[in-house]
Amino acid sequence: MKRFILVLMVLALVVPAFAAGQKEAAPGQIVVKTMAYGDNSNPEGVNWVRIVDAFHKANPGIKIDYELLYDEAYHQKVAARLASGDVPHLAYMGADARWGAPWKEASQQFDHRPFIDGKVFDLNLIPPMGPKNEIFVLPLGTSNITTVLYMNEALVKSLGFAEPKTYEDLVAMVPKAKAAGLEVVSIDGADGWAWGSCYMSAIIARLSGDANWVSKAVAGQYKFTDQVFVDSLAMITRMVKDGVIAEKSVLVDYGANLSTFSNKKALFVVQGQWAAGSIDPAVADTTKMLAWPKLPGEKPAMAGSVAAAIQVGYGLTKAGAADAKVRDAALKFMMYFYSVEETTLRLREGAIVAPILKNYQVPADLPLIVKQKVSLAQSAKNTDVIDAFLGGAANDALNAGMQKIVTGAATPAQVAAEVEKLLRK
Amino acid sequence: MRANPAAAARLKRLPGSIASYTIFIAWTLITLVPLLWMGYSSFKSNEELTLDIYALPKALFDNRNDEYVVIPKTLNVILPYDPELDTRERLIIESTTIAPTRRMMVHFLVKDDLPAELAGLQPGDKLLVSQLPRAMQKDINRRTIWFNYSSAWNRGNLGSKFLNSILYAGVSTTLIVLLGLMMGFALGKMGYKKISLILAGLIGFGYLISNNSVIIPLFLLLSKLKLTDTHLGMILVYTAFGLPLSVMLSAQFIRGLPDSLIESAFMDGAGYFRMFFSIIMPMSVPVVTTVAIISALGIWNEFLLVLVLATSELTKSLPVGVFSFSSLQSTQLGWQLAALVIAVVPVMLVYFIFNKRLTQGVVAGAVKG
Amino acid sequence: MRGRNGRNLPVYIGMVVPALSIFLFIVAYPIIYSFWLSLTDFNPNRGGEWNFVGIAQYAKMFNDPNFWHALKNNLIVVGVSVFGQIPLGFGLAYILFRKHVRASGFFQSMLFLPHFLSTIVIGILWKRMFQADGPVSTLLQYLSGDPSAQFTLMLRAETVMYPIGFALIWIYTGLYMVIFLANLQKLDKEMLEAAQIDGASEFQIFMRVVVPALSGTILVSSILAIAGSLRGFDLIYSITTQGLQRNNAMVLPIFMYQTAFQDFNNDSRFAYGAAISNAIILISVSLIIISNIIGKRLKAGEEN
Repeated sequence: MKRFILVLMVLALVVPAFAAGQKEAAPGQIVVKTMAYGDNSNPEGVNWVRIVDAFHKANPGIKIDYELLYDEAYHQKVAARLASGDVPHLAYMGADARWGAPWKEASQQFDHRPFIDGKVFDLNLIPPMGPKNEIFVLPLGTSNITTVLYMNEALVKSLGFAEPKTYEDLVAMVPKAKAAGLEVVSIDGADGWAWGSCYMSAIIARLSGDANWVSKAVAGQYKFTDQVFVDSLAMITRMVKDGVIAEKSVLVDYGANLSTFSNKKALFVVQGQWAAGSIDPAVADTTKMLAWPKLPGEKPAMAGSVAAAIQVGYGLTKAGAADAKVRDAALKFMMYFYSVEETTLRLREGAIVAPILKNYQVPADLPLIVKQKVSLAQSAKNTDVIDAFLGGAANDALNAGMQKIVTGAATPAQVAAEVEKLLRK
Repeated sequence: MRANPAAAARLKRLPGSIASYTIFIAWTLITLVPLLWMGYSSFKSNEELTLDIYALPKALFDNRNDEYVVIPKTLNVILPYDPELDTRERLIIESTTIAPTRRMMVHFLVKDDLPAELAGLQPGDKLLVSQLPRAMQKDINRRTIWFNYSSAWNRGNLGSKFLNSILYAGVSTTLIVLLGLMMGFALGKMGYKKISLILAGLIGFGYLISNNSVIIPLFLLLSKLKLTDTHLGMILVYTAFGLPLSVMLSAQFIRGLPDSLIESAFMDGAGYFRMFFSIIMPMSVPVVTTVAIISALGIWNEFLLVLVLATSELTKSLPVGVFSFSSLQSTQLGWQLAALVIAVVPVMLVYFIFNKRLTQGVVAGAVKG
Repeated sequence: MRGRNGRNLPVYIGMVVPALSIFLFIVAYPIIYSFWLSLTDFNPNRGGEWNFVGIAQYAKMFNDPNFWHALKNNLIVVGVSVFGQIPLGFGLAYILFRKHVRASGFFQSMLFLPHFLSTIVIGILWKRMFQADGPVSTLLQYLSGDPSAQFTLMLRAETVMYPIGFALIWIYTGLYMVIFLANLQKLDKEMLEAAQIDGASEFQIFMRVVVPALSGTILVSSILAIAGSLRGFDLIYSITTQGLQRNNAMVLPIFMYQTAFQDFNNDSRFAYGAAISNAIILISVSLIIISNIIGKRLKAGEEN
């Protein structure tokens, strides 16, 4: 027993040292401290490890010392590393309310413009991100459509219907769908963000006729208490009442939502373009990616529009750019990471829609659903995604508010007033 | 005549007995049914889990006629062997029914072991499991049945998280017991009554503070010391928050040991440390067991601290690993259940094997604490 | 070297210091730090500058409806623990003690089992059970014959605490049952038999003899339940989905966590979070003191 205790105590002292020792770089190597996004269970993470391994083989003088994290844990660790002063040189980040906030707060955003090779990247596709048109990250791609209406065409046809042109067409499907035990439009309503990103972002643009209604409202040009926003919220009540969206959707989370669709239990599903890769291939082959049909009261200017944002991606921090050697090593890695081969793989796997590479040729043999995605991105008008502009408590209140509207716990006017109040505070 | 009162009493107790049995059987069912459902459902395919929630698993077991498609060695196919060391040619096939096209259910068949007509297949060609040689069928059969488990285990990196959980629980508990016993001995048997009273009060107050009440300052403090996301940092925190109970119980227990023991040890010329190790420690086995059970159990199941302080794969423990399967993007429902089972089974084994002792330990700790 | 009564200062120090220093460093210092933090607007991401803001964070907290909502839910959890788990646990223990059922060892280990499982696992499991068209909903559909029936209690703010309360009872009642059973077994059997011979009914024996004899255990259990309920984070965090559901079921520790680690729009989020966690400590200490006083009063009342 005593010896056992002794062994454990020695372990307690040795293991942390061993853990720290794993990160040790060889002498003379340039170390790029990196925070990468993904985990071992998703393609992002698996690909990251593979890319870094290959890069190390090709560039023995550089060490990408990375931490690979996903979702909550990633945001958590960003905050932690910034707070402890252990600022990474290279990180997965964005410039919007969710992905840019911690970097902005810590004044670590770095303007990449002088270092972006115009021969490789198409500068027209990268939007300005800062007040002086700075570019803080290299996005993985553009046109990250968040409000796709996926349709199981075979299932819709089997009930005797065709692709809906108007909202009324959707309503007309309700009785037959119900009788067959099917959802009409399934949404992962348990996730608050899905309502904002994947649903309301489309509705408000349609009803207001202004593609940038959200950004203008956040800037103070409109108010969230304006009648048009209240009407947009009231659209939820209407869809629930008409049976297009089920009240129980507030109990459905991301995985269950896509399973429902993949297992032919819903005619339509609402999600972002990234979900295309998670749909069962058998169903994906008969799936069409649509914009919402014509909604009652929508303005013609925005007919057929979808909400889309620029994707997040990797960017240098001020700390990383401070040392020219580290900066150049990081840039070299980024060129590797955004290479044509890797970008094509990302396109194939459904991670991106449109690359930011100059003169990029879209391969002809893409899977059907990816082709649809690309064509939707090219054809539909793009409008603001709410949470790219609205952050923090106001955004949370909006998302939770829409869930309340579904369950009848709040009226559209109440939710609108709450959002407006929190935003202007 | 004599038996009558007893029979009458038994009769009188009958309604009570029926009610009692009903309550206990119902409660047992409510405990067991969700766990059983979790257990057998973890062997179901994603499709089965969505379509009929109570049905028994079938698809993964009945895999002789599963269809596979030959795929090219693209960038996203990760080889389970080193192609420089193992140069045998392989046919790469992927299931068309289990997570198809996602490169999750992929087999690498050595071409030399395949009949010629299969070895010559090209990407896009399809084949059935039953066409393959026996040994390969057997291997695929096993891997199909355990698909949810191996995926959860490998993709979720549960192995290293398992080890971390053991490390945190083991090392912290050891320190908690040892340091607690030392301080308990000092407070209980070494005089200095006033200081001891103050120290006991201080430590006792600590018992009311849980780690999540000070998680923010703790996070800032450990960040500054670069101890977040290290094993050492986690062990220190677990040890610190386990000490109050350990010190309190140990002091109480050691105070109750007869003074004559110590006197006679001194007569024998033993020093303090020898006495501590050869007399106090062996005598304190009951309190050590209690403290160890409560500490280890608490640390094994702890979540928030790991969520906040440990972020890399290297330091995460099992509960956080399991939780990550229920995060926003998880679409593999079967993996989630398999991960739950992996987290629960070791604890259940320990519980049922050491049932009596564990129960006594928890009770002793709870009531005296 | 050796003093009288085993006194020896260097050895005393040697025995005390390892545990004490870890304790002071990891437990005591953060409490003081937390108090200081709550009086400032410190944010380490801004480079370490800070201003003293007095009780501004607390004032903000008292004006924050989310705080009151979380507190209310927390008190519901305390209520479920003290007035649900403890009486149920006591009742079940009494049934076992009076040998109204056989195989008491089996039942005991079954009911106590959930306490040993990770709360996170239990939370995820019950979340799955309560899901739309999940096991519980399906059961409702079989029973009611309505194929669209759903278990909707998780949907609304007014009802979300029922399923959560159920899960809490499911986890912890077994613990109180074994605690009470252990103490019941220490009771003087002859006293009980005497009462029985006097013709007292089972209920009378329970109320007049058993409950008073175990008042100390009830008090300790209540304190345990209060302290445990206020710090509880894992179950509610894992049984709900981020968004309205978690907001509806919000308790103080989750509110504190989300404020400090996720609310990037609040510049002084760490300070505000510290104010919330100090409130948790304060509330739990005062509730424990109150229950101690009530316990003593009751005891004094009995003795008179």
